Amino acid sequence: MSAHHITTAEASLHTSESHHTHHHESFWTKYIFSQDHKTIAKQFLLTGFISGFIGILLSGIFRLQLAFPDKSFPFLETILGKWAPEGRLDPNFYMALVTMHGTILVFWLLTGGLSGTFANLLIPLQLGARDMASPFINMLSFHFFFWGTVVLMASFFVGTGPAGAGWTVYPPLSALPQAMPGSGLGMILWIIALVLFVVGVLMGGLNYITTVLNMRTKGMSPFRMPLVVWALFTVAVLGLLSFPPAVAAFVLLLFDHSLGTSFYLSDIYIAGQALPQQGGNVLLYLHLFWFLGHPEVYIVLLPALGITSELISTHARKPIFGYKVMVISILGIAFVSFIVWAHHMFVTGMNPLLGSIFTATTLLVAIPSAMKIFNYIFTLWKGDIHLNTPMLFGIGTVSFFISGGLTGFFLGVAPTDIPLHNTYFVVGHFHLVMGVSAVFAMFGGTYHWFPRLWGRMMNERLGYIHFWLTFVGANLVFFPMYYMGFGGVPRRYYAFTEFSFTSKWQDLNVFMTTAALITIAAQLIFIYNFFHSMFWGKPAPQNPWKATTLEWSAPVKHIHGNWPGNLPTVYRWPYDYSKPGAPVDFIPQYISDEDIARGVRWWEEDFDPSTVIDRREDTGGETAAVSVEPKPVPALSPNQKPPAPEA
Amino acid sequence: MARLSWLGAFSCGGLLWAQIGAAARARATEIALQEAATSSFDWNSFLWKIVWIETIAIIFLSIRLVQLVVRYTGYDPFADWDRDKVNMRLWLAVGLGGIALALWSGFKYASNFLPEAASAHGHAIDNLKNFTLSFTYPAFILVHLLLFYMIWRYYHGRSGGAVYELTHHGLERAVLIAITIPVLIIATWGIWVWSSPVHGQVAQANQRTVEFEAVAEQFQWRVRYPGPDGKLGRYHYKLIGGENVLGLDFTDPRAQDDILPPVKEIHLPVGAQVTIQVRSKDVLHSLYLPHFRTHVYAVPGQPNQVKFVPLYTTKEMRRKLRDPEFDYELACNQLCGGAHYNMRMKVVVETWEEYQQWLSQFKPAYTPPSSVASHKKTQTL
Repeated sequence: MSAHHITTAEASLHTSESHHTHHHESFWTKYIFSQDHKTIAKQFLLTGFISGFIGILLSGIFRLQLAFPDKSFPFLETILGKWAPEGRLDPNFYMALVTMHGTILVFWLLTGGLSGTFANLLIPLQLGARDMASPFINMLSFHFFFWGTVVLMASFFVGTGPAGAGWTVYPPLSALPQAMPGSGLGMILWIIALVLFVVGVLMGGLNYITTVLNMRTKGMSPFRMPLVVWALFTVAVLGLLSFPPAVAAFVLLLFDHSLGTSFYLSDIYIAGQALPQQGGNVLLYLHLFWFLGHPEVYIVLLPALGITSELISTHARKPIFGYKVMVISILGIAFVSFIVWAHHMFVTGMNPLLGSIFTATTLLVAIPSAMKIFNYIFTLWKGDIHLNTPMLFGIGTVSFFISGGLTGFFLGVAPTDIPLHNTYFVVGHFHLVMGVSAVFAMFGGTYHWFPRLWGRMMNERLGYIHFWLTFVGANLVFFPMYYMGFGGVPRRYYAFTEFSFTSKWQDLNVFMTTAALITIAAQLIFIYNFFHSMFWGKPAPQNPWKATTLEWSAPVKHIHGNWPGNLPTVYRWPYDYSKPGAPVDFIPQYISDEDIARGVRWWEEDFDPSTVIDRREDTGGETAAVSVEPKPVPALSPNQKPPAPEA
Repeated sequence: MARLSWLGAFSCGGLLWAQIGAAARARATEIALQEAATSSFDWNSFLWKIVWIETIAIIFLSIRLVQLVVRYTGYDPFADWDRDKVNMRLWLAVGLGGIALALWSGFKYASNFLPEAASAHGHAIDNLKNFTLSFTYPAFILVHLLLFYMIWRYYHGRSGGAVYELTHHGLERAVLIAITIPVLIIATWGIWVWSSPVHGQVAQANQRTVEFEAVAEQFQWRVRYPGPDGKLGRYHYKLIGGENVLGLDFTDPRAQDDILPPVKEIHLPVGAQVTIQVRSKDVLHSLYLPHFRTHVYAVPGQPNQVKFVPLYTTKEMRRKLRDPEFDYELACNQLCGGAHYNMRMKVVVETWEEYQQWLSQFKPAYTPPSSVASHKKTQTL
């Protein structure tokens, strides 16, 4: 089955080997049209972070409006022009800000940025592959993502403003330019940007799946893959199954918007005119959108949890607790995520019987999620917790996942959702459970793999300051939203002044805005640290965190094909931390028991992994090893009970 | 030696900076006073700008100063800090402080939560909500405490090495059971509550029933009560226009007596079974009655319907809450455009007699054909 893939892999190996010896690359081939997965990972990370920072700056502007609805901020007129006449934000532009904030953060930062970066970086490096299955499609994947970003950002400069119907862009509001200014050209650009984005995601996803299935190195059986690879693989499958219906929904929306069809429109009288469209229904759009929309939550969350598994296990120097349960939980969450979408629609007037069914399926998600949470905590139990920056962010992710996840019990159950639907309770819930928690995992992953990406370390102290300000700040911003939700305050309100039940919350809104602005300012520390370390950081050692996975066995300086000689062969699972009988508290996956017996000293600063990897002539290491059984070496296989430590 | 030079550099730098700051402030005040004397220059905001710039400059210069001193003296004041210990203590402080803050603020803001449900099914919803809260809130605190305990007990400074433990079947099973039980209870209870008000809310014997229509449009609500026949007449969206704001089909006799009260108020009789027909003229809206725990989307082209029984009149509720200003409110809770935040309607619950009296002051929306030409338009459409 894999014969063809072998030849491709070999071919790419030969070309790359001849490349890295004498090939001279121009700026364009090296940084822009690169087909190297490590460079593409950097491209995704930078694009994701830059658009993400724009996204949170937008939230700073609309938070100002919520805290001080009656106050004029002249600087807003300076930067926004006609959208903030006399320093007061225009209500339509407020909606555009909210929409773009959601779109950018959900899709650009936490889908493109998060999966794109870490799947590209980690899948080939942790599985021992030279590159992705198709480096060319991989490059295209980033370029579609990038041009999607350009189109999306361009919509800020359109006369009628960017899309303003919320990140879910429900028609008819989004389909009728006469309903709000943002539904004009801005909406068309939004749809184009999203379609480009999805094409990029699908190309990336195809690559990730193929690479994981076909290009694992010798000995890398599925249950020896790190959990982050399991998560990224599952997410790629989720994306392939759920994004196409969403694209269909967006394209039909574009037809309704511009061509006069009536997929979603019916019986509409607007701006003094009865529209001819009849027979469509918005609920069709809602079903199609949430069929993506809910798996999308896990497309964001699963890579974050995968990264957290790596961070917690590595920095607690202890194997991840219940590896198989974790894998089953990932697959279970992925499966269940496809049958819960209508819990976003309990009060839309769909058949009430569906409300009962989706209540039952939704609550099922709690089971694998709780298993994961407790497994993280049990991994810390009896561990040796190094509280460095990546670990702080890893634990932060777990904490946010607890605070956010538990409130799902209110929203996933149809009756309690009735008063809470579309209130700030929802805003608080999803910001904590998938927003901040995934952002924290992304930060943690960046601090952890920065040496792998740029060959330099990030500054630890700035990392602590960044973590503590962000952790405290984010809690102070989002936790009070639960209170507002119990108060019934609706989301997407330009001001809370018009209703007596919403105007009670002004003091809390001022507090949340203050916390939000401080938290946003704290990100400047990260930006400084990130770019400063990129050029002037401390040079990274071969294996800075003393981790076991394969990415730390490749040379610090990036080369095409990742390993200068053979591909590493894998002899053990990825979590051999603090194994009894081992000389140090970690054994990398490419170290065999023979190597240990031979006295290989892999923990030393100047140890060169290629001395071990290239020593084996016989393995060749080049073949994709789908069907190849691992060598019958492991006396210390992961599933065995460890031998009792000798006193 | 290094320590001394560090101290020296810091104090010199500090003094120097204080000097510069004082001079700048003095100069700024001088300029501002001059300006204030001669023109309408806003010296207050000017001073604020200076303060801001100064604050930012102080932060950056201090960081730079620390860096330079560290680089040239080789003395690092934080070198002795035990990273793990400091972060462990911060986790405990922030974590326990955070839990305390959550508890305190929860009690503080509970008075701002929605008051007791004012509808029959709302009580069932609130009971389930309270039960869920009684499970999630302790779980939130306990699981966090467990997390903080792990950090405190097994941080690098105290741990003395990790134990190679792959899994523990008993623990995994315990977690599985511990989470499955509340999931089963909440799911069963939830489905039961969901099924009762929505499917099974049948009017009891002698209970009065009221049916009316709420129509959403950008950016207001309109209400239509049936006339003496108790029935709402036909409508079609293409009939909307002119005075016929809801597109009523006046060829239907049931529509001819329908009443469109020209006030931004909904009146409901207490204890009656209320049915609201919800529709939208243009985009998605939603009919959100938070005090009655009632919420349904207004979907163009898909009329929705919602039922509830108001339990307390506005006066009773004002007395209950000791708030003479209290009013039930209807809001739009699905983004519908720029003025979405402003689709308010007051809801008044009163006795049956008061309700009848209120309704009787309005005339039907329909005017007989002889007097108005607009009827012709209706006919042709």
